[in-house]
Amino acid sequence: MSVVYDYHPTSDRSAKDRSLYKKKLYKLAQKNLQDRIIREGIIARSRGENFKISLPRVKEYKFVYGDNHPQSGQGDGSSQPGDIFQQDQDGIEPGKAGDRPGEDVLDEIEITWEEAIKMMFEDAKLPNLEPKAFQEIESEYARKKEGFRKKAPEVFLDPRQTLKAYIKRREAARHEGPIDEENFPIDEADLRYRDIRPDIERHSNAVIIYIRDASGSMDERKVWLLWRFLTWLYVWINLRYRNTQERFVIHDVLAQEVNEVEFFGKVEGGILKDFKSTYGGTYMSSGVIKAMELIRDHYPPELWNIYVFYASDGENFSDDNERFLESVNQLCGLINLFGYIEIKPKESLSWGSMIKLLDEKIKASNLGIVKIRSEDDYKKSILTLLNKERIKDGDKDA
Amino acid sequence: MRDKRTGWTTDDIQYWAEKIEEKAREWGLNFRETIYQITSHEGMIGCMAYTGLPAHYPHWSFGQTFYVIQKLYRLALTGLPYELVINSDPCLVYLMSDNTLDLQILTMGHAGIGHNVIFTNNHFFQFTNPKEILIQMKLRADRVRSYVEDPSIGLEAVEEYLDALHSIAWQRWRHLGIKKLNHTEQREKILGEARAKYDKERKRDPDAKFILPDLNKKFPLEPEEDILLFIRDNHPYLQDWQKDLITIVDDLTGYFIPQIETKILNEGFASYIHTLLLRQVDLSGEFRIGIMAANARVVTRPIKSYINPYYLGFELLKHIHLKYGGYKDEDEWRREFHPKNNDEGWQRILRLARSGRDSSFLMEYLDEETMRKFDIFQHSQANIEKFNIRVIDKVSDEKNWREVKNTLIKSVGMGVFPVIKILDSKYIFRGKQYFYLIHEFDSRELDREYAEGTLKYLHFLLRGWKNDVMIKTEMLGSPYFIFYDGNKVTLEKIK
Repeated sequence: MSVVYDYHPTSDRSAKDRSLYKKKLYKLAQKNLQDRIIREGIIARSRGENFKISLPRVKEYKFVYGDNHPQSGQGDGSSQPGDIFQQDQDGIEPGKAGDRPGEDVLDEIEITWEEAIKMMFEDAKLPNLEPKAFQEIESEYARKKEGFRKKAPEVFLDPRQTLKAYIKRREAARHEGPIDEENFPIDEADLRYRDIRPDIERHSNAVIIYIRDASGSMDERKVWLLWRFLTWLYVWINLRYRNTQERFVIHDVLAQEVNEVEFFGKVEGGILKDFKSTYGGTYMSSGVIKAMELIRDHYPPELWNIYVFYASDGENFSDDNERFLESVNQLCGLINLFGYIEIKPKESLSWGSMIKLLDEKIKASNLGIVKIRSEDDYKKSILTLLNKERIKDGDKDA
Repeated sequence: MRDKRTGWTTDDIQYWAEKIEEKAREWGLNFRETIYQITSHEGMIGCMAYTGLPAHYPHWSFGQTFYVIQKLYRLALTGLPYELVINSDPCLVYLMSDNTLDLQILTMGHAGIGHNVIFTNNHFFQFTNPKEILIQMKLRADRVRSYVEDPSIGLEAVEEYLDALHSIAWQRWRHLGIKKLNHTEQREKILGEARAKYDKERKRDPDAKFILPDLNKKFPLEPEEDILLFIRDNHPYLQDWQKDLITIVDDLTGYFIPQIETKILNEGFASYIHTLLLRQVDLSGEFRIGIMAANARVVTRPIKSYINPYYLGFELLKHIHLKYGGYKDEDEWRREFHPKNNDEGWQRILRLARSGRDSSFLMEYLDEETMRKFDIFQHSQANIEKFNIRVIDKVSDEKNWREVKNTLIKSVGMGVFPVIKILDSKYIFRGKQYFYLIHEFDSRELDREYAEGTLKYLHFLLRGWKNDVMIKTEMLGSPYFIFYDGNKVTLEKIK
């Protein structure tokens, strides 16, 4: 007796294992993969493309025979010694492919940007700073009291505040004369609503302003270290906001806004675009002041979460120090986080004097100072900076 | 459910399933009740990735297999095999919802009857527990998941352990139907041999002494094929979950071995059955065409390829039927054959279904005529202008057909897995103790990279008990030892 029925499983049973597989591949491909995710992912995203990455087949070792012994085949009747045996796909059974050495097929598996970043962060084990999905932030804030309005869509009704208002009104009424205790209903005037719209706006926009000095002492190695570190920061910030913008500023004694390629001294279209320092010498304040201009002109702090990262090797013209420290102080008052990053690869001798000055003179709590010698310093530095991030009024946790 | 594209309903499937089954029973074929599950093509890929078993323990390799199959499917390198069938009781068969009705009918004849008959009757399958397998797999999957979720074990530990187990799972007892001696029986056997030897000596020399063999010198006493089980039963520090995983992996491997051993016979027989059956079932013209077309894809003669089990199996069975059934040619066979005649060809086929496997099937029925008819050849690696390609070096001509046949038979069934046994788990060599494996060399060398990778997995499984592993094999024409001590792999040519 045969029985027939429809089988439409509600769950995708291989989903878990596919995710295990992706994680495994990620672990194996580590270093190179991270670079590629960062680099290619950013580009793909900016183009609105799906981030695709090639992941190699993981070899499942077992005892198998090599290929240097005779194997069997079948033909159409015309086979002769000396004929070339084409390795065509007949006979390869799915499920057993991968057992045979030599099949290092590069599969193109599409990982989404989010998946890739998630893996990177899981792998770096950044604790308690799990990037939150935007939706989570949104819903969390919706639950919190952010201020009360008197008219809004029903879903934003705040029962507690409404009750408070009602009680207040009732008390006031009692004070003026006797009231009907049993018949004093809640009035429309009592209704209170949570006002979350501006907060949503604010919680969805971020801008990162990167500043670096273009003096001769920033060499290729430093730039590479910086690039990787800044990309981690970008990634971290970008995940928390719906919209993240970036601005790039380079300075020597004068500051100038540039694009990403110029900032990192990368090659575009075959031409090395490097910021040529016109004047020599460094006025660090020029970079910071430029950042303030950008903020003034484009990014009102009420609507934007602003992050400024300043990368330097610490050398400044001493007559500029006062100006620099003051502008940093001012900036800190406006923004979420000011990160001062000194890059000094292992071989170099000492840290610039600026760190000491900043430490002494700047009292702002949202100034983070980090020193990068190598990639090993990244994780610690990220934590330092992000711990300094200022929580804005009304935020309970960012 | 009416499928919009292909225009059939579950009722149609039910109707045809019953019709085919009726015909098959008329023929006297014995088989289990069948359950047909209709699923989407994604579901199909998902099923295939898990070798068809509806429940399976989780492992990343299935994720990988999923992608491999999906990629192959996308590149249309494999038509999704239209059949996926499980050796279970009742027999589980998957049908793809995208397929047209004629293809479903073909699948039902092929898998629902053909494979089912083999699973039910072939004696190599008798210990596969078909009534239990589905439930067992579900329980096992649940247990493995519980280990993954157990905070004292966790995903990584389970994955790591399974990876290692998978690597040597195929090195296990493969002689279905032959009883393996346990340790006591092995001792008895060795003592018996020593006594027999002594008796023989004494006849020549009355003063000959009985030499008691040292039964503790090595362990195991006889080369051990079940590497995983040996570890499970002798490693003193395994945790219960590890032993459980070993048992699960070993059991599952054992479950699949009969299918591996009978691949060519099974596919040949199923193709044969569906061809005959469908010819006899009352099908309208349009069905016939669809079915014949689908059939053709499977049994079409290739140009040059690896051995296609469907083609070879089908053609060889047909050859047997014509030859021993006394049919003049295919036309006559098509006209005259009916199982009720019970011609000798048909008898032989049924006998093969009951007791054959690939190696014996091919050994018995491949001769110079059939070897040449199917144009079976052998090919080897050649280096032409720095390209590594394969070239045919021997064909089934009068001079070489025996050798070509031998090459083929060596590679069917479990022949694709090297025979590697534990020679001695406490072997003393240059003052150190080794877990000593032997590769029973049959002129096929191991892939070196994979061998080294597997030795490392073995070492991992022996952690806490043994520190050094070694294997004796042959490479580049000479005997070699490969050692692994947890740090590096060493190769040493044996003088």
